Amino acid sequence: MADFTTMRMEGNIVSTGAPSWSDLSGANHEIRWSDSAAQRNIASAVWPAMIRPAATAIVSYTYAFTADATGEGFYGNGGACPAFSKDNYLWGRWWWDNVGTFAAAPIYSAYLTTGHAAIVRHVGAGADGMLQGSPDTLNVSCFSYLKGNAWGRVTSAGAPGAGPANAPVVTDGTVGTVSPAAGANWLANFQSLMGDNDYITAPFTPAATVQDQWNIEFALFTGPNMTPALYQVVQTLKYTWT
Amino acid sequence: MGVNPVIATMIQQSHRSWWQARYSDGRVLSEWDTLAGKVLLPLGEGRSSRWEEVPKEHMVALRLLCPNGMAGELEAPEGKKFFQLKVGYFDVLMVKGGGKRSIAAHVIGVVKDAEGNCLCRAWSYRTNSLLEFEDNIYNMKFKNIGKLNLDVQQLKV
Repeated sequence: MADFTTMRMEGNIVSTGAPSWSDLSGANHEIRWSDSAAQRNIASAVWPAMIRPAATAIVSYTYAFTADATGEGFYGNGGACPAFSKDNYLWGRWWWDNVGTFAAAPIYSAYLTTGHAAIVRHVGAGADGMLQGSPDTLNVSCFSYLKGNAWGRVTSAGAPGAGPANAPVVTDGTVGTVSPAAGANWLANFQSLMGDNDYITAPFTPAATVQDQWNIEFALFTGPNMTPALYQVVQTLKYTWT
Repeated sequence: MGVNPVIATMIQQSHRSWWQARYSDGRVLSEWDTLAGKVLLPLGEGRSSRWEEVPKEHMVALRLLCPNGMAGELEAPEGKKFFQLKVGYFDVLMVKGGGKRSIAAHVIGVVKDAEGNCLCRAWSYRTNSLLEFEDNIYNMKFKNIGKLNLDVQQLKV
């Protein structure tokens, strides 16, 4: 099969001007979130709990860990982790090698586990999960607490030079798929990442056997109706190959 | 297009599906014939087979040979009507970390009309079963694949 040998998700742990891409896909590498800006190089056993807020809120600080006690904040630059900003537009990216051939446009979403089971979207009142949504995330529908945005072309055709038009909000989402306009464009609003219910489809099929990247941003929200649980959520590049 | 018992056993033990094409002159080309390695047999994953380099002229049938011994076959007159792809996932785990790749299905199809309607067979790696369904190459509903890249498939619609 002309599948890819290596794929990665990468996060920028330094700055827009001098990005340094941390591999988020290696063994024991993790993305972690916190409401504390001081969690670089903190082991998971002593990772501080975050009190579920009385009102919906973004989980401001995102970290890229490459070992249990080795990790930096996104855009942390070796110091305190800055709060999420859509204007940190070299935030993250999907990376693939020059071995495979895409048969269609790749898709960015999130699933409850690596089993990729269908996600039952929350309806009505009451608490529910990170990806299922809850009344906290209700807009026209209950959307995922995890939001994503994506760039309208591969990085080799031109990396982002600015962030999306709008910052993410907890009620962002569109049922089904959305795509940024092809070219130098983000989605104007962030999309709910909810398995096969809500997701982002690239407006391009990347060139065959060419190493490239697809720039993304993502942000996690929480709120009073998010059920406390051990979430084993995965962020996923769903893709086809020949 | 018969499959000899030794090859059938190899396919079963490879735990994956393989495509096999037939041409109007009677020639048969199997996916394992196109592998980059030296051993051209249906063994293991068999990486680096390139569908885009497979001749499409005069192809009149495409078959999916499945690890459970079943086969799904599609036929069409000559004219670059066949396509083939795999769909899968690259997951980045939030707990215990790391990346994980998996395949969901191996799909073959034949385009039936100018509107892009197609008949497909697919080996589902989730259910270990051979599926048959109708779809459209301009917006594949199966696994939400969306529009196929016609250049990669060298489809003539």
